[in-house]
Amino acid sequence: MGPPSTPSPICVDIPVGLEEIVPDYLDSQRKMAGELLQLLTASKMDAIRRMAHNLKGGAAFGFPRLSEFGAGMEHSLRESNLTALTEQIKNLAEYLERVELRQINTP
Amino acid sequence: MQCALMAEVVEQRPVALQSTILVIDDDRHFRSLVRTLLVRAGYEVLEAENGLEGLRLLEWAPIDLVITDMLMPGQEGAETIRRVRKLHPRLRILAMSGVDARHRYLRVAAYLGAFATLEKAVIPRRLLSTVGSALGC
Repeated sequence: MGPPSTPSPICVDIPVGLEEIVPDYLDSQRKMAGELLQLLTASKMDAIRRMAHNLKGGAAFGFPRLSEFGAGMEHSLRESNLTALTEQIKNLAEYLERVELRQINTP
Repeated sequence: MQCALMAEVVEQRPVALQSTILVIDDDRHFRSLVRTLLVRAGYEVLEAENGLEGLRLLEWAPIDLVITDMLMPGQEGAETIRRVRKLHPRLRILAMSGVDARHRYLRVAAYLGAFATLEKAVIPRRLLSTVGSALGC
């Protein structure tokens, strides 16, 4: 059995003009993903709902996948599906860890 | 037309510099995003974390346009729009919200008299044209 493989990075292009904002946004979302599991353990659903709602704005920062995560989490919250919610939060954290930002060079 | 005339008078200064925009959103990243886009276009920007704070700013600051999120703790967008419309009926409001398949929040905003509504996902592409329309330029 070989060494565990490192997950491949997911490249995300920084929207032109948002170079100063997006790296900070990504850092913040990574921290938030870590907090989400703790909030889930503590059953703080209102806080999770707020974070899921804010995630839906991720597309504006160049992360349409975050908008999908946010919408999916809101759906799981509405359905009180904690199994799905837990899985989504784990997948969100994994996605965010794999993201590598890429600067678009404009002519 | 009025904006065009003003632009001729102050040739060296973009029309946008005449306008101050109040951005109300509890998400600091989103406020930062909107501020960056607006400041780069020459607008003055004030920020508030919720509707109550926004209304306090409106008491003393000359604001030309309000951009508000719909779902916020403290005072939500719907109540904010209602109160702004009552206290400042001529002031135009742009409401924004996250992805919502049925556009519930933005439909409420339009019903309450928001001049325009925008989904947050399209803000980088659509914000400036919508703001320009709201300011009549």
